[in-house]
Amino acid sequence: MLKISQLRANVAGRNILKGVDLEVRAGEVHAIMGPNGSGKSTLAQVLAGREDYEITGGSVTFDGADLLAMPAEERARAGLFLGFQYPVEIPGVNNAYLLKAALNAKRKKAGLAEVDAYEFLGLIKAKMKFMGMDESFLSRGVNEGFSGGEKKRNEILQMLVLEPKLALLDETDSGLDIDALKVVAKGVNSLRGADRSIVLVTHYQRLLGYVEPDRVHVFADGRILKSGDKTLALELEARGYDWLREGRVA
Amino acid sequence: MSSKAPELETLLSRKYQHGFVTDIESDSLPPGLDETTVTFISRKKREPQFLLDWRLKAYRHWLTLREPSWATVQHPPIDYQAISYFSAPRTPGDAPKSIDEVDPKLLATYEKLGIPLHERARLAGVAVDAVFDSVSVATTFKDKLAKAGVIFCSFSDAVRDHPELIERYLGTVVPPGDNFFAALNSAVFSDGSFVYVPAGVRCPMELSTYFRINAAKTGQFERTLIVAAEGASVSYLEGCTAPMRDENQLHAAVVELIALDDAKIKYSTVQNWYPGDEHGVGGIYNFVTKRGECRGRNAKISWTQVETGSAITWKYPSCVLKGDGSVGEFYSVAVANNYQQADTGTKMIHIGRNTKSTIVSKGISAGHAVNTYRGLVKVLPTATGARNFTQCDSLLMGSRCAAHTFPYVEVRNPDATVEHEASTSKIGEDQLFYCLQRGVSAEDAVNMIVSGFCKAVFKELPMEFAVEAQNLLSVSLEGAVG
Amino acid sequence: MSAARDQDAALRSFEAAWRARPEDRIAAARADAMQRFLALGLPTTRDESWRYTSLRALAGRPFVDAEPAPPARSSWLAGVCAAPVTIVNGRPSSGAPQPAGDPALTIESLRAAIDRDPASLAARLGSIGAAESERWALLNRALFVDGLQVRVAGRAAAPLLIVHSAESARDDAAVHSRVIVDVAAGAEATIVEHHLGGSGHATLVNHATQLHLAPGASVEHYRVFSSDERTTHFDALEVLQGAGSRCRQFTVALGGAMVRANLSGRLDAPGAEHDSYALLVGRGARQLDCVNAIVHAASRTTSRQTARALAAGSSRVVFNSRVLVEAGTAGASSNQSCRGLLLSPTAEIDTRPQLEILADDVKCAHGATTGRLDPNMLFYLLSRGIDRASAQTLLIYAFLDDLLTGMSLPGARRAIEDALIGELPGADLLRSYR
Repeated sequence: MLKISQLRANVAGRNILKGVDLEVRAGEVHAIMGPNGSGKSTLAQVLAGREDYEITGGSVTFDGADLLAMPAEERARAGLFLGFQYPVEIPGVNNAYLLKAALNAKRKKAGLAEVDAYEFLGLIKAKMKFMGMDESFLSRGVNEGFSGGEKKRNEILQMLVLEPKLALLDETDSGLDIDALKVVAKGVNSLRGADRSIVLVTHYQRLLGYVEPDRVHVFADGRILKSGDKTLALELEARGYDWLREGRVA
Repeated sequence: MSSKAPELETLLSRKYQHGFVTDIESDSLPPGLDETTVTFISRKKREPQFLLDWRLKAYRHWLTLREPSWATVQHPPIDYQAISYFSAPRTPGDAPKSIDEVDPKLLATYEKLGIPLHERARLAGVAVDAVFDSVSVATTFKDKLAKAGVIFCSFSDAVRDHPELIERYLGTVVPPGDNFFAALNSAVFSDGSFVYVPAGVRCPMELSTYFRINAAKTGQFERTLIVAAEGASVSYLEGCTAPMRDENQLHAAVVELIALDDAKIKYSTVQNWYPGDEHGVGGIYNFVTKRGECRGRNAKISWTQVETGSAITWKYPSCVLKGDGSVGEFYSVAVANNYQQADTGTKMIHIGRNTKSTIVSKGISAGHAVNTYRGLVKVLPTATGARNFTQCDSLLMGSRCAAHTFPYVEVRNPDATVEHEASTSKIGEDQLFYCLQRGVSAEDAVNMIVSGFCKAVFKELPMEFAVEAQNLLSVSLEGAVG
Repeated sequence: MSAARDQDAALRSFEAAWRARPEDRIAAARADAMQRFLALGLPTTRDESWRYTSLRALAGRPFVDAEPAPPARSSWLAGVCAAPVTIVNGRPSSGAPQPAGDPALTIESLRAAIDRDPASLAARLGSIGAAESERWALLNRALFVDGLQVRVAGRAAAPLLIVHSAESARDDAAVHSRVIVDVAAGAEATIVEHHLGGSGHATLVNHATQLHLAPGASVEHYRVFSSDERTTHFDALEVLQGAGSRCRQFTVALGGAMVRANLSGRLDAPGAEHDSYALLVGRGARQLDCVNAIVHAASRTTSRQTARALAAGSSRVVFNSRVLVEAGTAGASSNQSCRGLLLSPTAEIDTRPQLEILADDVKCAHGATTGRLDPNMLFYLLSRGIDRASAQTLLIYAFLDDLLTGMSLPGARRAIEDALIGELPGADLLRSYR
């Protein structure tokens, strides 16, 4: 599904990604954990096609295609979804319109008929109910005036509507209370399937208690330091990150 | 608050503390200005011909200019023929060769001012050039600076010892005809400071100049020129005081800064010229042109000013951001109390790509004072990726003062981002009451609130001067709350 | 002809037009205005308030009064009101305006008002045009041919639409017209002024509106410019507000070669509230210069100014807003917000939010931003699969949205949105969006 080889990238002239290798197969859930400032979010943004991040080396294939050659909107239509750590507020563009336009852009690319307003409303209302969201939000501006938790829920809702092949969820669990975390986890779990992959970028083990990962990677200093199964996450929770870095020096 | 007012009025009626006159015989020109005055100054200083020609050209241009009238300042017409354009403390024979030859009374003056002029009384390694009336009297730490390759001397010495540098850089940032006061200064400037930091050199200490107007009926027209070559960096501070006199005195300085590739210049001012008394009598007219040019890539010029003195302040330290990636900063606290008038701000001219500027201005008005922020942010079509952020706040203390904010934002590049925010409000009664309720005196409470208001600027000052600035602020605001 | 004489061609033609007019019953007031105008001359870029708009080319052209003409076009804002009043080349179209059939509204032509009571009318004309920045209003006082006097005595049943249409087949026609609106104590009205026309000729339209709100009055006023690309507008709007009155004002510039729109508001008594909104769309070589000045002359007065400026092509959009809080007032509150979006490397946006505060019990703030579309918003939309052109179009529209949502007259809002969309890239997408 996703294959990253020796990916290097600069942000504002500073080298942030220093040779990332990662392979995610269809149906797998991966967790990328690491301390603040290690470059996890940069990786997510680079994969989604952020332009002001400069790729200086390496390659990424997505479903066999060269991901880095595609503009951001093409990546989205090809089935890559980024759940933002800090979803931006866009007053004046309403949620329903964005979702419908995004869904139809994807369907068009897949050769499917566009959904009309009626079909769309039926679809979205069901998903919103599933996510425990109020219908009034549809007519509001994208993320406008949302609390941190509402924004994260909205990201998951968008993911459920767009049904991506690969979902990158960047710190989707941060800033959530326990109830919201459960709702988000429910959303993520509902998307799991043999033909989909999920990459959870997270700081804590917390979310992994609800969404069980197949693989866990430790990300530090711009690359993956160590990979393992779900027990690695527990070990990190217990011991922190420092032991890994010390181990590398030794 | 009104019940507190009388108490505060007393608390806040401290007097200008630098108002003494030093009794030194001055070697002064009689008042008046014509070509012979200009020639006299140039000859007296044994200047090369190019400089005399330059001065005369400026003088002739000045004659064609009119005093600017757009600022919100008001003053009776200035009689430029009633000013003495040269006043040098008389020294036996030639100029002093070392600090020991300087008139002890003059040194005592600096002691009173708290200037660490004497090397034995050095403070935290600050090199000081002191300009007394119009002439630079001593420059400390010359040797140590020379070892690092840094030239720091009086402008007159620089003309004598480094005429090629003067000829190359003088007037290239502020042309002699730039404005009325700059033209006047170019014609009659008497001295000032010169700094040259060669490529790759980080100036090993803070450089500082103290300016003092002493003689009566004189104007002070000093000129400062600072050049930081490629990769050089320097931090420079100027302080200013003047005696209490009940006529107005004119100070029309020009400061030019030039930063080449990767060079950094930090220029800090603590301006405490005599502001006049509480009835608005006397005080300095401070009409100053300050401009820096980031000529090279990634150059940086940062202005920090604390303006508490002068009857009228008219100054706009500016940055011309020519080099790609260059950075301009302006941090200002301007306090106007009693009948003071301050019209100050900055211009940020974005020419190079990815140039950045930051403006933080804090104006405080009290008494019958008028405090104006006037600023221009201009983004030219070449300045792709330019960014500016401006924060401009005014605090009003008392119902008879005024605070004006006049920003100009001109953007001609679609890939630039310019943000401007401003606010004006009176000192927070809730905050004051909170402090009083906790047992803090009204004066301390005002000081706390005001220094909190100014914090973003004070933190940009070199540490040893931040304290001085803070003290000046509280002295300036005496009598302000009522 | 020498260059110096050229520069005075417009001035001399205005003076000639004034001399050629038959004297009416306010001739003294007109003469006074003309003398002052001639003494001041046309503004130049050396005048602070005209810093960004050069009249050099215009000053060198002589103008003649536009002839009376029949109405030639209808307003796309016609839907807001059953019986619009049309003014063509400064004259109410049917000689006398249509009665609105609303007992709260009295409408007569300004000529009729002058003939009825010249003294009181003459006394009122001068409140606008006193400032040097209002030189065109001064000229307007000398030269206005006609206009309307509107009285609102109670709660108006329907909005009043005034259509100002410039129709001339000459390239040197000038139209001078004036509207005076009096809103009685506690009365309420919505008034829409729509400036259109031009017929492809270089017409100059010098219009002034005086809006006077008695205590407790409430008005929503729109002035919409959608003339063709050869029309130049000098438009002065004066709003005088009594105690507790409320005014919401929308200035919408979607057309014209040049629109200079002045708004001078005076909050004369305690509790007056003023909101003004400017929607400025620059395209082609259009020059839009919006100059607001709000004076807080009494205690507990509130003003809010909001502007959204878009500049595409080689247009220039200027937003100058000034707030003056007079000495001796307490509790004034003001806010100015101006956001500009530059869409082209040859366009320019100039912003001047000014505060002049002469009292200490105030809360005044302004914010101004100029720049490009927010890259974070753009990336968010792209990352959801929206194509770039659509994402940009949506964000441009969203940028203007909060100004449109402030319009409480649905018919006007809808029509303005439609016209606005026509001015933006990606119009089809935006129509489907709505």
